[in-house]
Amino acid sequence: MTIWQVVDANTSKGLPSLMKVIETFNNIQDASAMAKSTVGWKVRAKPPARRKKDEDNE
Amino acid sequence: MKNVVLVLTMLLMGTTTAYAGSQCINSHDGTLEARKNMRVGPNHTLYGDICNSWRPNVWRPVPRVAPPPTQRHGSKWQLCVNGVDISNGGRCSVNDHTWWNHGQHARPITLKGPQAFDVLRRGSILSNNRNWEGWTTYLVKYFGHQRHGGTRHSRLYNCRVSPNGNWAECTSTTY
Repeated sequence: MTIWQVVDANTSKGLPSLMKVIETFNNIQDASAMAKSTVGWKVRAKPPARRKKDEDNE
Repeated sequence: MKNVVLVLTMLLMGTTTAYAGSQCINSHDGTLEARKNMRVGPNHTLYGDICNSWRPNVWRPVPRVAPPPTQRHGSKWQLCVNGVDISNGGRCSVNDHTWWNHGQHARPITLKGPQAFDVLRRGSILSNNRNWEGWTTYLVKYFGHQRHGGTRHSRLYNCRVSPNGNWAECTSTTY
């Protein structure tokens, strides 16, 4: 299942991994609705590498 | 003494020139002298026509013939400004998109369901909107297309996701 993130694109211009994650959703619709609320917030799928690290830590 | 050295130098240069560039010596070089050919031995003398047959690999410039105007019009090379061929004022048969795709017409691709979600997952979502029916639309830059030669070709997709988020469709743009 894909995990969707709302990230603040202004927190990192170069490295996507350094973008601040505002919220995490299971549904892209919810993520999209939240991203539209603020300029500079973007929707992206949670990077696979980060998912694996998080799952290993749990 | 200087004259002797000069003569010897000129002789050496002449010999080098004669045997370095061509494979044989002929008598059609503007002189009446029939010189020895080193490739066939000191006692053989080769003259013009015979000599030519001994050098099949000698590079000769290929004459360039300009194509007639009818063939030029068939060429893919055009100089176009806003879709107009400035060489003849006609309409450009090769548009910018075909040009940048090396002559290949990129057909729009429509992906549905899991494949469309794959584009959303792997691509970069550039913008998103929600229409009045509850569908969300996304402009996605996707880098996944592998082309010949190992390079990847990015494409822009217009995607839309159903109100419940369980169905997605993506159509590639033509640019």
